[in-house]
Amino acid sequence: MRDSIIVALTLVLGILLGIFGRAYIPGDISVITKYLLYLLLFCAGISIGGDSELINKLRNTHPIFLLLPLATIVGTLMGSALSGVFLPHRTTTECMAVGSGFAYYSLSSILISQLKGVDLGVVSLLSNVIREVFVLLFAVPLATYFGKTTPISCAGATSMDSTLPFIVKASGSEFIVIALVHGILVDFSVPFLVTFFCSF
Amino acid sequence: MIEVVIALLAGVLTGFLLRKKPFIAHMHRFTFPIVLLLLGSIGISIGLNDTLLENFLTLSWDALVITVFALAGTILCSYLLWRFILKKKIK
Repeated sequence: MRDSIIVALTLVLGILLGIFGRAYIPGDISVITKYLLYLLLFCAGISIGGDSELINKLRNTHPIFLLLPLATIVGTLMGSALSGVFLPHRTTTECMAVGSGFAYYSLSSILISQLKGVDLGVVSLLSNVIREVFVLLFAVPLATYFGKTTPISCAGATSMDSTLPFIVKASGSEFIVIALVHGILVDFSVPFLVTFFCSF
Repeated sequence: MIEVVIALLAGVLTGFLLRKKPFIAHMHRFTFPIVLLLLGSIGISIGLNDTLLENFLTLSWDALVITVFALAGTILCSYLLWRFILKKKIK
């Protein structure tokens, strides 16, 4: 929660700096952000590769539950592709790139801003924040009406960290490992899918 | 764009090789300041871009539509998987 507030404040501070301090900002900051982005991806990779519990977590999960991240990815991509029909000024792949954030708003919005421009980056940031907030608010009814694994799917990449306590409350503690494994796998797919859909 | 994939995979390999080192468990402390710097710079790009500020409502609408459809698709697939396969494995 504290981190989310710091993130929101930083973003607002940046916007205000852009509006009121433009005389002091050097022309192009995208070169710096590009290398920071690579550093971020490198660090995100270290977290995944260095998780020595990962193999154990996978071993303790019934293989059939590995279908869950797949359902999340397929469902999200189908839905976001369909949304393109209702947004004529957006291409299908742009909508799919935004959907591919799976609520991992920091990485996906930064990647999309870099690859497709800040315009779509802002859409991605808003969309993925909405997705996370949706799970925080509706995890319990989702589990009640659509099955205990549905809050995990909706949480996307955040099912291993920020939304995990809400998932446990809604679905039960027997879903912790499933949520963790789901989060790690979906999280790992984000940079690949976002980059792929931005390449069109 | 291949740089994105290379940076990530290089990280995974480094993490795997250094998995015994205690600092790996605290990577969040390293990544969080980077995330803040990057989001701050996105903020600056947003603030510098007048067209973007004028179109903020349209962008919010786009985000909402994409999210509603993405979540509907996710709920549908996840529900079907739960209903026909996973539910039996839990009991």
